[in-house]
Amino acid sequence: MRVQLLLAIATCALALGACRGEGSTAGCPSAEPAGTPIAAPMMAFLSAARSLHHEADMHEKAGDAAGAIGALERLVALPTPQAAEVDEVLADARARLAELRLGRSDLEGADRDVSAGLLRVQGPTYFRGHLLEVQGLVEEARAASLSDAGRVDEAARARTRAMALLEEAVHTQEQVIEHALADGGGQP
Amino acid sequence: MPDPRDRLDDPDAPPSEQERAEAGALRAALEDPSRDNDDARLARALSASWAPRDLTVEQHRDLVRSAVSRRSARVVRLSLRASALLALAAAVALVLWNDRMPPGSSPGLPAVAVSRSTQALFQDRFAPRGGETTRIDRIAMARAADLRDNEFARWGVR
Repeated sequence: MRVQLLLAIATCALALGACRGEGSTAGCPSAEPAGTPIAAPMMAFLSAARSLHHEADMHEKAGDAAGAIGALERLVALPTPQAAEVDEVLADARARLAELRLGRSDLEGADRDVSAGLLRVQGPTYFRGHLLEVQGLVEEARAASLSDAGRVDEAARARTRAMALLEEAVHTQEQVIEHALADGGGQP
Repeated sequence: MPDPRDRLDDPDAPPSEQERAEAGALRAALEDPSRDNDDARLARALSASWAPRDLTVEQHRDLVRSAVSRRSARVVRLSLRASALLALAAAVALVLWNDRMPPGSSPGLPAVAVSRSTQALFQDRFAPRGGETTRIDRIAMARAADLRDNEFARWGVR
C-alpha cells in the first residue's frame, strides 16, 4: 500500500510540474483559457474600425468635430465578434469619442462613452489607464464649469473625483509597466 | 423379489434405495446450505425467483471469502501497482514532451495565432490626446499578419 501511495504522489508531482512548464498547458487545472484562432470576422471588424478612425482623422483635420464623432459612433455600433482585440479597439474608440465630446463641452456624453469603454477593458492595460485618464479630464472640466457657475461645493467634489481618477490612471499605468518589465519588455 | 411394476408408469411404486439416498442428500442440503447439491441449488433458485430473500450473513461471508481469495487479492494488488507504474510513466512522458514542445504549440496541431490582448504591441503608455489611429493601424496590421500565418498553417505550406 505504501508503494502505491508513493507512486501516486510522484505521479501528481510530475503532472503538476508539466503544467507549470512553458509548453502546452492543455488539460492543466490552472491553465488560462486559450483564445480562439484569429479569423476573418475579427479582421473584418478591425478593418472597418481602422477605416472609420481614418475617416474621423480627416473630419478632425477639416475642423469637423461632429463628422469625426459620427464616424466613431458608427465604429462603436459595428457588430462585434468576441475577441480581446475587439474589446480594446472599442475601448480606445470610446476614449477618442469622449475626448471629442469633451472638446464640445458635452460632459455627459463624454462620461457615457468612458463608462461604456471601461466595461470593455477590466484588467490593467494602457487602454484602461487611458480611459481613466480621459474620465479624470472630464471631471476636471466639470469642476471648472461648476466653479465658473459659482457652485463652489460641487466644483470641489468634481475636483476630488478628477484627482482620484487621474491617480487611478497613474496606478493602472504603473501596473502595466511593471507587468511588461516582468515579462521581459513585452513583445507582440 | 423385485417389483414387477415399472416405476416410470406407476407413481405409487415404492422408492428405490438410490431414490431414498438422493432424497436424504437433498433434505440434508436444504437444511445446510453449505452442502453442495444440484437439486438443492435448483430448489433455492426456484424459491428465490418466487419469493426472494436477503442473503444470510454466512452466505454473504462465503461469497466475499471466495471472491477475495488469496489468489484474487494478489491479482488486484498487482493490477494496482501496474496501473500506478503506467501513470508514473505517462507523467514522465508528459514532462519530457512539454520540454521538447516549443512554447505556445499544441501536440499534433500546427501552431496558430489566437485572439489575445494587443497590449504587447505597445511599449509606452498612450499619449494623453490622440494616437488612436496609429494604434488601430498597428493592431490591424499585426493581426492581419497573424491571420495570414494561420491560413498558411491551415494549408500546410509553412
